[in-house]
Amino acid sequence: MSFNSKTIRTHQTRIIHFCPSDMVTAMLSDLDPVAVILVSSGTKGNRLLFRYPYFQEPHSNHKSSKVAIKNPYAIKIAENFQDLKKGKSITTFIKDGSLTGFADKTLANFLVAKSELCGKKFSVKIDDVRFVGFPMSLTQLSKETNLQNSLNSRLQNILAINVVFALRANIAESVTNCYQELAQQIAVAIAHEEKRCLYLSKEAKIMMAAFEEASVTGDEDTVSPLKQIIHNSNLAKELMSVFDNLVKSGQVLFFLNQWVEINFCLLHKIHANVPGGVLLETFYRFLTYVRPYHAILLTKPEQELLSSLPLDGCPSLSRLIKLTTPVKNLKILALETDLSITQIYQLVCHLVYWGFAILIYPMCQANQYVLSPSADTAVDSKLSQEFHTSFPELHLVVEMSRFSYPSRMHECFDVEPIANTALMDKVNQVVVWMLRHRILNQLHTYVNLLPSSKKEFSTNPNMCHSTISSTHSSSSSVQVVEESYLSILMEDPTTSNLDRATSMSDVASVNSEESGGQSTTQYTSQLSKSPSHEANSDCSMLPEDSKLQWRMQDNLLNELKPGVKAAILRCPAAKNFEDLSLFAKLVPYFNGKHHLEEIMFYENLTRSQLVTLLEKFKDVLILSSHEALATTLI
Amino acid sequence: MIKCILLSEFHHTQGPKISHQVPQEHVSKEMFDAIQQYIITKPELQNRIITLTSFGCKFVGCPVCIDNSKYQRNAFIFNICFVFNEGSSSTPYCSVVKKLASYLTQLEDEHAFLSNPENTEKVSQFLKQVHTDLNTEGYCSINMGTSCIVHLKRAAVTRGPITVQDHDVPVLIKPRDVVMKHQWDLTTQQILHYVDGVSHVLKIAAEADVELNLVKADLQNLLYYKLLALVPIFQYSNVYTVTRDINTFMEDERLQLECIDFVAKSERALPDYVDIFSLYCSFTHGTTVKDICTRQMNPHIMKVNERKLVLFGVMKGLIRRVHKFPIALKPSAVSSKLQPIVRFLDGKHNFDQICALTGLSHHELDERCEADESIVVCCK
Repeated sequence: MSFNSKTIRTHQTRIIHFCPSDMVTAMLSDLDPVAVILVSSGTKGNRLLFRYPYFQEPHSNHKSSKVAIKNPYAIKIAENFQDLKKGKSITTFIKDGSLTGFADKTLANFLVAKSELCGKKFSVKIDDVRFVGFPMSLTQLSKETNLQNSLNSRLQNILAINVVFALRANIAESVTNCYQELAQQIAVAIAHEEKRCLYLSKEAKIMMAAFEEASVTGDEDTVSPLKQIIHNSNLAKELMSVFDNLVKSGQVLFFLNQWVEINFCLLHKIHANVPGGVLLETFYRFLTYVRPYHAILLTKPEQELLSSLPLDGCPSLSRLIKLTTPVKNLKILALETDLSITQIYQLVCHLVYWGFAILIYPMCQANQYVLSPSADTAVDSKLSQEFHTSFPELHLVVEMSRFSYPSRMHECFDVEPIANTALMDKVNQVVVWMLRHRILNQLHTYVNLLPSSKKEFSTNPNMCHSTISSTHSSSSSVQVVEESYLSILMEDPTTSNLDRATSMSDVASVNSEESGGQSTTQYTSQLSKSPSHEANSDCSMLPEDSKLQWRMQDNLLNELKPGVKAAILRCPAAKNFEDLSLFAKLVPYFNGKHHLEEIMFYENLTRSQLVTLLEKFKDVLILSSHEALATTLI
Repeated sequence: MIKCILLSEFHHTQGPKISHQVPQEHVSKEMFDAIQQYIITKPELQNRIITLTSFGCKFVGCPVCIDNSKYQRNAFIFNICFVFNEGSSSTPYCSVVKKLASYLTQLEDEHAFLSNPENTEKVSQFLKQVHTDLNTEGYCSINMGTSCIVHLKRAAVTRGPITVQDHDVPVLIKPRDVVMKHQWDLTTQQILHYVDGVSHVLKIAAEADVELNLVKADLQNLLYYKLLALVPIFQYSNVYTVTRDINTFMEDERLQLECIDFVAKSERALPDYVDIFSLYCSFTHGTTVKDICTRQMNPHIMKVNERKLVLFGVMKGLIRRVHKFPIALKPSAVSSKLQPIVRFLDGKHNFDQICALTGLSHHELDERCEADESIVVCCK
C-alpha cells in the first residue's frame, strides 16, 4: 500500500515551489509544436525531406540528452542497484523546446506509415514526444491522373508522404487533435498540388539534392543541407513559416504554392489569457451564450485586421469589422450592416474563434468594471511595457489600481464628463485597452427572488426546515394564509374554492356574468374592502378590468410557490397594480442567472425603472453582483 | 479499461508476429501487419514506451531486445502491448507496461519464459490473469516461481504538488477520526494535531515544533491524498467577493443543508438558508468581513458563525478572496518606514505574503501603505 512510503517522504525536505505565474507561461509554451517534419517513401526507400527547426547537436556518444524527468512523488531509493546495473536513465527527447536524439534515418523510418495507415490520422507517442500527422498515399493519385506516362514514371519516385508535428506528450488531447487537423490540411494540399503541377516532385528534388550533396562531402553536419533547403525550396519555406506562426501567434493562414488555402488557429493558444484556460468542448458551448445585447471589441486595429483577411473573404465580415465599435450592440450592428442577427452571430463567433474579437457588454457610463483576478499586477510585467508604448505618460499599475474597487468608467478618473473631452477620450482608450487585455471584468447585478421564510414563521421554528427541504408540500398553513388573503382580496364567492388552473376564458366568462347581473356601485363597495383600494381608487381603470387584471396576475404569480407568492404580496408595493404586474412579468428573470442589463434589453426598460422596481420589492429580493459568464470567457 | 493484452515477438523465420493475445482475435493479422513497425521496432526505439493510435485503438507497448547468443538471431525481440479504445486514457498504464516488460525480461533471462515453446499455456494463463486483475482491481500480484512476484498497479495521474505557503491555512476535509485512522508517521501525526482550520502553516510549525519545510512537505502529502484543503488565512480585514458559482447554492439543496449545518453558531438554532445566501451576496469588492459583522443584519443575529461562513464559502467556491497587492512605482521614492520591505512591493506579493514574510500585521502594513503616496494598491 502506498501509505508505507510515508516515512521516506517526510524526510525529503526539498520542496518544489511552483510560482503560479510561471506555471501559466510554462503551460503556454508547452502548446507549441517541437518540430515539423516532412517525410516521404519512394522507390529509393524512406527519406526525410525536411525538418524544422534544426540546430547543431553536440557531438557526443549519448544520443539523447540526459535530462531526467523527476517525478516529485517518486520514492527515493538510496541505493538503486537495479538502475545502475542497466546503465540506463530516463531520457527525454525534448530539450529546450526542440526535438533531439532522433537521427534523420530513424525519423524517416517510423514516420512513413504503411499504405494501410494512409489517409488516416497518425499518432505515435514515444516516451515524452508525440508525433501527429497525416500520411497520404500518392500512388492512388497517379492512377487517377491522366498524365502522360513519362510524367508517371517521375511520379513513381514518391509513393507516400507524411506531414508530422512533433509535440510534447503531456499536452491535452484536444490540442493534439487540432494539430492533427493542420497536418491533414497541409498533407492534402501537398497531395493536391502534386496532382495539379507536380509541386512535391519538384520540391523533393531540391531537398534530396541538398542531402546528397552533404553526404558526398561526408560531413557529419546535419544542419547545412537543411539551411540550403530553406534557401532553395518553396515548400520548406512554407513549412518553416507554419512552424514560426504557430509559435508566435497560433494562427496559420497562407496559400500553399500560392494556390491551396491553409487556415488554422490553435484555439488553446489564442484564448490562453482567458482565466482558467479554454477547452475546445466548453468553448463551443460558450459561443451559444452570445446575445443580441452583447458587443464586440476588436483585438487588433481595424486596418490590420482587414488586411489580414483573405481577398476572397466574406464581404459582410469586413462590413461588420468596419462598422463595429465597443458601444454598439449586436442588434444595432445587425441593422447597420443589414444582416440578419443569426448571420451576425455566426460572424461574431468566427471573429471570437480566431481571437480577432472578444465579447463585451457595450461600453456605457453605467458599466461597473473591476480588476480581473487573473490580471498581472507585477510592476515590470510585459503587459505593463506594452501599455507604456501605447500610453507613454501613464503607468499601467496606477490605472489598474483605479479599478481595485468596482467603479464606473469615469468615476475613478475624477473627470467631469463635460469639462474635458480630450481627457475623456484618453480614459475611454485606456479602458478599452484594459478590456482588450482582459485586465478588467465587468460586474453585473443579478437578482434572486428569495423571500426570507423566517419572518413569516418566526413563531414556529420547525417551519424553516420544511420550507427548505420540501417546496410544494410546504404545509397547509401557508395554503391557508394565502387563500384567506386572496379571498379578502377578491371578495368573490368563487375564490373559496379557487381553481388554480382557471383558464383565461373561465375568468372572462365569470366576469361578464357578474358585470351583467351586478351594479358598479356594488363593485366599488367591495373593492373598498380590498387592500388594493388605495392603489385603484385614483386609477382611471374600470373596476371590471382591474378585477380581471388581479385574477390574471394571480394566475401569473401562481407559477410560484405559495409561500413566495404570499411574501411578494406582503410587500407594500404589491398594492400598486402597475408595480405588481411589472414585477410578475419580470419574475422569470429573478433566478440569479439574468443580469439587470439583460432584463432591461429584453423587457425594454430603462435602468431607473428597473432599479426603482427592485427597490420597491427589496424585501423579497437578494441582489448579487459578479462577472457574467459569457463576457469573461469569450 | 484494457481491451486486450498483446504479446508479439520477432520470429526468426516468420518475422514479427503475434505470439499471444488475451482475449483472442481482438487484433487481426492485417491490423498487426500494418502497425508492426511500431511494435517490433528498430533498435533505436527499443526500451521506449510507444503509444500508437490507429484503427480506433490505442496500442501501448514497450519493445525489448535481449541480446544472447543462445537465440537463433543472437537476440530475442518481444513487445508487450496493452490495447485500449481510442477515446480512453492510456496514461495510467504507461508505467505498468514498462514494468511488465522488465518483469518479462527478467523471467525470460532466468527461465526462458517467453522463448520456450513449452511455456505457451503458462504465458497465456499469466496474461489472462494480468488482464482480469488490472481491469477489475487496478492492481495484481502474481507469483511467478521462487524468485519473482509480479506486482503491477495502475498509477493515478496526478498533477504537480500544490505549493504550500507560509500563510496558508490547512483545513481537513475529511472527518478527523477518518484521517487519524491511517498510520501516519510521527511528524504527520504531530502536525495533524494542530491542523484546526484556523492556524496557518507558520503557526503550526511553531506550535508543533517542527521545521517549516517538513510541515510543508507533510501538508503537501496530505493534500495529495485529498484529506486537506488550503484556504487563505481568516482575518476580519479580509475582503471576499461572491463568485458566479453562488447560483449553485440556490439550486443545490444538499449543499444548502450541508452549509446550514456547518455555519450554524449552535446546533440547536439553525440559521435560515435565505439569510446565509444574502450574507454571501453581501461579500463584494471593498467590503471587509468586519464591515459585514458590524451591519444591522449581521451574521450574529442570523445565528451564523462568520468564520465558518467564510470557510465554507471559500472551500465550495461560493466566494473568493480578494487579495491586495501594494506596488511601489519607484522603489527609491518609498518612505523610510517601508524601505526594509521595498523588495516585496513589486506587485507579485500580496498583503498576506508580505505579512507572513516580514511579521508585520495587516493593519500596520495597511497604514504604512496608505501614508505613502508613491505606493499604489491593487485589489484583485
